[in-house]
Amino acid sequence: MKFRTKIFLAIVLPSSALVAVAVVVALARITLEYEEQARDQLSRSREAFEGTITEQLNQLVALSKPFEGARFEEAIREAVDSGDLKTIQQQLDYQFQLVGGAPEFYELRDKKDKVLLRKSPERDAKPAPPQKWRDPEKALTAFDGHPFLAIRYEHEKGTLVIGKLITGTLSNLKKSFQIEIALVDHGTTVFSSLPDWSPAMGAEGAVYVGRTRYLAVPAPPAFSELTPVVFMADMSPVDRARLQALLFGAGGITVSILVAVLVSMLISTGISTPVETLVEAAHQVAAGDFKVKVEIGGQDEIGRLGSAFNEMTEGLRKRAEIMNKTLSPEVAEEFLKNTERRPERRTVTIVFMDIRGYTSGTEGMDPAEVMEMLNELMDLLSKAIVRNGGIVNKFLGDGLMAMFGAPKPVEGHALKAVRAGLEMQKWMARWNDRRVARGLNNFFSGIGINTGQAMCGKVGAQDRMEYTLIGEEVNLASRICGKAAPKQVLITKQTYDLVKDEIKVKELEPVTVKGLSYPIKVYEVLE
Amino acid sequence: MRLTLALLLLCSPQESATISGKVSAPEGAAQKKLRAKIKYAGPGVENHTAPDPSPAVVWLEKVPAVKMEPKTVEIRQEGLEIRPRVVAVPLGSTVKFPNQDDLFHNIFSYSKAKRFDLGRYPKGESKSETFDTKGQIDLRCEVHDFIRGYIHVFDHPYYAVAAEDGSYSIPKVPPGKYTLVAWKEFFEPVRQEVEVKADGAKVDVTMARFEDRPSDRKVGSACCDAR
Repeated sequence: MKFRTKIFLAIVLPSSALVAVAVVVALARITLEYEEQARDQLSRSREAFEGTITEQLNQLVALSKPFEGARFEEAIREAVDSGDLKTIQQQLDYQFQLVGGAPEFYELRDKKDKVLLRKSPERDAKPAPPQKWRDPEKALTAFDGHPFLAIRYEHEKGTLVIGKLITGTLSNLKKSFQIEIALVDHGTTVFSSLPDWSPAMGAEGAVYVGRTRYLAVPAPPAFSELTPVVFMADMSPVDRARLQALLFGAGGITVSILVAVLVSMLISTGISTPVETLVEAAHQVAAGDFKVKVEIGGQDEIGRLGSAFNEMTEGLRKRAEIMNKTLSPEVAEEFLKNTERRPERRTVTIVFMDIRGYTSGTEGMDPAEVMEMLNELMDLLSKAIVRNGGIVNKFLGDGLMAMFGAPKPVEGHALKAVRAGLEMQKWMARWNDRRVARGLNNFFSGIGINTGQAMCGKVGAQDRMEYTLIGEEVNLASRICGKAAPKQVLITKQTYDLVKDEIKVKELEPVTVKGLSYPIKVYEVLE
Repeated sequence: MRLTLALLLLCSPQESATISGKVSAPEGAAQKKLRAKIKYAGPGVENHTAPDPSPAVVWLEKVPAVKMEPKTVEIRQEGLEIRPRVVAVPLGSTVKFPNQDDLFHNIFSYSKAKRFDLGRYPKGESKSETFDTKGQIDLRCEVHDFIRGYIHVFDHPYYAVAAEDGSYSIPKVPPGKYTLVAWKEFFEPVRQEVEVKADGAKVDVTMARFEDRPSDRKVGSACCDAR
């Protein structure tokens, strides 16, 4: 997992959890407080409803006392016996005028449920069938689809029902308490302050009318024949509060995500990208490219790390340069590959060079001048060697030793060594020309070349080693060099055998060398 | 039959007999219920005194009308009751209704034989009504639901209000065959065929109960117009 991902999660997860907890707590509080309020409201509304309806019922009872009396009994008797409705109608009209107005509903039936008189808000409504005559104790009822408070007067010959429409009362209750009221009569809505509500939507608990949630409580009074009487509180403020809490939560989480994105972007540009650059650069350095430089600005720790990295690579680069100067790159590579001292036998061509008359030639010279001169010369000569595929193995004061075919095998190492020798002499001649031009004295060198088997490997102490060649053939090359006249390149028979097709030579008198009892055949290389 | 009766009456005016007997009215549950229903309750109970007896009325049905001298009868409103409770008068009689209570009454009737409304009037005042149609008139008081009274108007003399023990006698009845009707508050009217001989007839009547037909229950309702 990337660092910036970790930071992102470290910000998003705890802050989101915090916001989520806050939202849950808020929702719980909203539920507790608002729902409780709604229930209180419903409970109070219900009490008010019962109180109001009971009061109205009492008024109705008080006003309608005469309807129980002898006159109505006799008038109903007459109406039922004779079929003449004049008297009962007169009685009703008279009584209604006394109480200040006719009720919205009245009905007179005989004992066989034949309707004799009727008044209803629904003029054409058919009277309810006999079996739907109401329980006399239950004053809250419905006629022709309207809610009524009704009183029944049972007389000997018939029954008179007088009903007061309570639609207005219900509407007032709705206004006063800001609740919805619905009255249902055996599945049929006879009143609903919510026109879209139907009993099928439910009458208890959460009820959805359209997209609005209501809290419904069925609460028919004891004297109600209607089932149910429902009180509903509009829960949309609660839902709004809930939505707000959720939006707040969503907003909080969004902000935390944004912050996290911002921070992780900062981290990314400020830390991750530079670190990745550094990692890439470090890989390059590991692969040996010391020229790599990272470009990380800023004065912060990362910027300083970048600078330090550059300093480090710079340091490494310098060290590598020194290594390349002191060791040849191939040898350095050999060391890098393996530091174990495991020698191997190899056929190589060894080149020795030595300046003739060095001691006498440098006599009286400033040592610094000598050093400069040597450096100039060695630079030229080692270039010639390297150009021909050889490796300067070591500088030996006024001479050097070079090898062809170690540590890596070189195709045609003998020929390449001979050519290097020739080139060295050529460069040295030009160098001498320049010295003459500057009024300086000349130096000449002899070069000896031999080809043969030698032990190649790292030699030295555990903590300080060098790569070298050891063997008689090496010594022979050195001895041959000693025999070479200034400007001369001498090669042995082994070398000659390998280059005779390419190089012109002049065979010289065999020479005797130190450590060998027999004379050695030598050839002078001629261009 | 009427012709025969008329002939009988014409031919032998001195020949007459008496129908006598006893109306027994054993009360059942329905009667007790009705009685309970009209039991006095409400304000002014301390002024209430026991209602008058409610005797049976017995008469002959479908006899020819006989011109009779009208009477003047008094029915008092007293002790929150109508007294006497049951009255029988000849056609054309006048009934006075004095109020002797310290409160208003409002006697009225919606009976077919006589519709009237006396209105309310204080103690000491009286109003009267003349009854020109035969039949039964149920008296009610608008103010006091439980108050009941009955007037029976006849266009012939063959009727009697029974005594408290139910005994009655209808005198001066020409011998012949008749239908006797017995009425009593809280009961169904009873009709009974009688044959009156020269020495009269003895007819005991038992009132019918109607507890098995509660939907037809009546509190002294008008039952019979053939008087």
